[in-house]
Amino acid sequence: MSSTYRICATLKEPVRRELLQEAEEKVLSQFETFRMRLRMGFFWYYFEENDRKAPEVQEESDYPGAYINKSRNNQYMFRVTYYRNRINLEVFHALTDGFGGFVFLKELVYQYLRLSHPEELAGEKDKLSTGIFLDPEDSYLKNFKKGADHSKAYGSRKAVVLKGEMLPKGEVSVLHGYFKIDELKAAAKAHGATINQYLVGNFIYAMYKEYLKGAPSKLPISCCVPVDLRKMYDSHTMKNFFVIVSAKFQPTKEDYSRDEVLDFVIATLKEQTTKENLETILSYNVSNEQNKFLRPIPIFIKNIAIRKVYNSSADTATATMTNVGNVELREPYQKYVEHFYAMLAMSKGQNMKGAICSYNGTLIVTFTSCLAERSIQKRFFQSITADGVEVAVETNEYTEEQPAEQPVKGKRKKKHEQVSTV
Amino acid sequence: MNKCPQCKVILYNHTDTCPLCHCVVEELEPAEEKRAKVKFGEGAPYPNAQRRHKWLRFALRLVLFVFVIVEALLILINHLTTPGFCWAAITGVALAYGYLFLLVWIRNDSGFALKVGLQILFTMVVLYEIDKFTGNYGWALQWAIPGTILLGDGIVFILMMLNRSRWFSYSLLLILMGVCSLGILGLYFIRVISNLVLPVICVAVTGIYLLATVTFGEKAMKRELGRRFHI
Ligand SMILES: [Zn+2]
Repeated sequence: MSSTYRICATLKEPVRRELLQEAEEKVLSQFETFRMRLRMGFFWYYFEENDRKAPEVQEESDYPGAYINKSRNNQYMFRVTYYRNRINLEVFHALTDGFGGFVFLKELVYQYLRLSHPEELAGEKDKLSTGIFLDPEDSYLKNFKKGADHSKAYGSRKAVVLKGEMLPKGEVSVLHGYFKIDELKAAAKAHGATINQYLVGNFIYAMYKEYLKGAPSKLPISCCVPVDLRKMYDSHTMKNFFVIVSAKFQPTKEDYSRDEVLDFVIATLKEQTTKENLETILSYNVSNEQNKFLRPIPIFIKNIAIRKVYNSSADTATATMTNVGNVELREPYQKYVEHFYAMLAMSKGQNMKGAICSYNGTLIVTFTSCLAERSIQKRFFQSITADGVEVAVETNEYTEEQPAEQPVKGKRKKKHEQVSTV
Repeated sequence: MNKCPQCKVILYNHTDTCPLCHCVVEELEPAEEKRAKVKFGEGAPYPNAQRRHKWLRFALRLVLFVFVIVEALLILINHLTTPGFCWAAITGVALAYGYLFLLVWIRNDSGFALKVGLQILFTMVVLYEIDKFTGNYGWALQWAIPGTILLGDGIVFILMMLNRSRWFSYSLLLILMGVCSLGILGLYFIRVISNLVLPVICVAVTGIYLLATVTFGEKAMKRELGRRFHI
């Protein structure tokens, strides 16, 4: 039931399986928060330490966010795969959020590079980076205020659901957009927005133009925006610690301009991310779990109830756009890593999600979607390029013509001479 | 690398048309491609995930298909040879049991102990149904189901030995066997079954086993049950 996400690091060299396996085993042995398994009690699910062997590193062969079968993964709640230059870490969201995931992925990359470049990185200590926190506290429980008014925390109003021709079950379309941060910052500034607000605004505008065709709508377009609470509460937890606010836009007349939509989204995001509002949402989340009447209900009944609530609340959000922030690597390792990016798995009711991640001056927006059409993505990138920002795009579509592992001798074939081998 | 003249985006994928607008793309000049690579870095392609998906779906469908054909054949043979006795129904139950078994172990992602527990309970139900269907001689409740409980005890023992560091994970399974044994013994007192031999053996074996785990592994057992029943 819990959703997953994938975070990736692409290196400047092909990944070697055995070294990645060794790195995973080494890092995992020091990361208590990842050495967990989920068990089912009579009233609650609970975490228990998992002392099984580290899960096997495998070559990527499935779509991002594909279900992690725990019984075939030594009960671990994450999976490490690789493909050519890329290392993927897929994590059950119940285990930790993007912040915790990146702490692990970075250490995994460091460890891998120490193993693959022992001479060049000889000066590096073969252990976890000093200064990272492995704090397993439950920051939700620690920071929630009893008795806070949370009646208006989550509006349960319905929102537009993106429908259309779907990809076959289990398939996901991935689309990365590569930007330079300084260009994007300038464009956002021209609209009086932060990069995050600017991207969410353009996403909502794209849905408005392409899905609603610029027409008025009874339901709002609602985009979930997760907010990391660690800074606000000075927490260093490795467990989940975020709340979700939503940027809503309801067109009541014909043809809003992009500037109007952007202004609207920026204003609602600002209003939503005040300290008071975030506190309210936090207390609401925790108080549900603390409810003493709900606690003694057997888990299979809770599951049914949760599924019902989940299904009925599935259409209160149209999409999600999350920003996992800027990834910083320690100096000697930087030159081996090309990109970092993140992507979210699909969940009920939301057929498109975006994830933002930046590293070394490049910001990558990754859309995952189970819709066959890509018109919303098209409008999103076209609007941003119209602001003078250059973008490079990459999809997960498989094409036979990908450059072979070994460079082929002689002249490269021209496209029209290529014969499909399928 | 290509460029879409319509969207003005640079494309890493080696396609003929733009993935966004389906416009036919133009190839970047070498100098331009070099500049783009310096600016944005190298792309990272994806594997062909479609193939794998199709294979798994196909394998499960194939098994189902073969099972259905086999059962249809058996029904035909049953009808032609011994129309008086409907034994094809039993093979039908057995095949359905086999297919469900496959689905539970391949598809279902619950813990190992839960799968084993469900499997044992389900086996008992199937045995009972077969007995009822073949003339209601009472052999299932009297002999087969107690036998399954003893087999369950054996499985729990093997699991605990194989995973000695996590033996307590299976204690709930053992308790389930205890409850089943008491249930079977109870059937004697309400006169559903008449022979006491196997039910008593069941209660004795499971009881001694439970007592031993409680005596020797009190702490781990308490912790496990505490976690499992935490409110
Ligand atoms: Zn295009």
